[in-house]
Amino acid sequence: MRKINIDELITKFAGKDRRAFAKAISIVEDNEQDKDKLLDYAYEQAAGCESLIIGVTGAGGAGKSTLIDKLICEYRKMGKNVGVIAVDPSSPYTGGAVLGDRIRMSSHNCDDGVYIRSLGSRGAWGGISDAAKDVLYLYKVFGFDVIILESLGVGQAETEITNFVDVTVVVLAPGFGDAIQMAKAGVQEIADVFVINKADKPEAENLYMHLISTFDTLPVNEQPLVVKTVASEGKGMDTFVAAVAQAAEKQIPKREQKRVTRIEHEILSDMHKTIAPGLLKLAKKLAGKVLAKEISLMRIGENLKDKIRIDGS
Amino acid sequence: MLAKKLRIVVAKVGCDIHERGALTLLNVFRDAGMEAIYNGRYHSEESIAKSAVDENADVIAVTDLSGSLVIICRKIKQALKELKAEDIIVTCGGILTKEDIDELRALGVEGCFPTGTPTDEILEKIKVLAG
Repeated sequence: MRKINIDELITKFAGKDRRAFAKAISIVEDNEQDKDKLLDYAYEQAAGCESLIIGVTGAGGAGKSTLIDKLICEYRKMGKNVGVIAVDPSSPYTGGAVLGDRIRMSSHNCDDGVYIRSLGSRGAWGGISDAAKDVLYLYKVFGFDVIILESLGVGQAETEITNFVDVTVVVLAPGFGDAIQMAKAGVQEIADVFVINKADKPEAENLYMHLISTFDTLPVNEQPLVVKTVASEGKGMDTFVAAVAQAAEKQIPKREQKRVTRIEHEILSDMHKTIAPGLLKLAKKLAGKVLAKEISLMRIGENLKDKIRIDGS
Repeated sequence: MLAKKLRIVVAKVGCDIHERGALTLLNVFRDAGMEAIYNGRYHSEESIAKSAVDENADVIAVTDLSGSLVIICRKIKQALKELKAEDIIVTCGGILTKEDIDELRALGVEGCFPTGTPTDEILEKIKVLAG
């Protein structure tokens, strides 16, 4: 395929060339050989860039993409540039993907102040692709005022997103579950702002009450904000934007601590990537031994102590 | 699991409502290990070209059953030229006459698939074009 000169690309990127930006994202996504050079540049430049990064997560069908579409409109009205990273699932079997988040946001296709990019999850865990974390740096350097990261909508365990964004928004819709779902651990604990979308449905008020009562016992300044929207009609968007701003304000004292957590998580994720192939090989070997009845499945832990030794020193 | 994947924008332009072709293609491309990006219906040529640039797509696959493919592809080609993205491959499928196909070829639109083309044939051709 087309070969690109990386230095030339970086120069164009720095000159805010949209095509160069789009290609740079692909270099990161495809893990091409020039990736490190590009990311070194981005990491260095990103230090001085101030963007508000909003993470949006929630179950599929809750209305994340529609909500983001309307959110873009709100920020555009304020004259802010908006960059969107929308992650959709890749097939674990073929590696292919249907990336459909644009469908709800495509009214912004011809607006030069908006950039939307769809990414396949490409086998990553936790709701965002491995590439998305690095791509965020590129977005920062490209100079968006607001960056919106949409994670894939799976459900309960997509808590990873919160380490990479300033404000985490969890989108809920009535009809997905009752008070017990609210009490379960997971996504509920990461939200700075809850959006109850499709709030024109009769069960929405119930969901709202359940949600509010869940956080009743928390100190007032730790309670997440809860807003109601009907994204398809653009209702409730002003309250939502205000809630995001308020949540961002609350994050400011925690910024340094969040930066440390983010770096830790990026390192962890890199460590995992580095050792995963070796681990898989070892697992296959041990599975063979278990099947041959050489070791008991229940004794694998003991066996591993000799093979894997990382004590953090 | 990071590797170069073929990225393809499935495009519907204008008022044509027939979406079955687009939906079928999305699944076919996904199952072939490609990343298929869809904007939905009722787009302008400019909107499609811009989204293909932003998505760093390798291919735009236009589907249309209103008999307007020559007009649409000509305008998409023009829009890509203005965006300095003429290297993005344009293919199309749907209602096509023999004359249409000749005209499209002259525009630089390779891979024109009349209704009834087996999906394997479409995949084969796109892989050759994008390879």
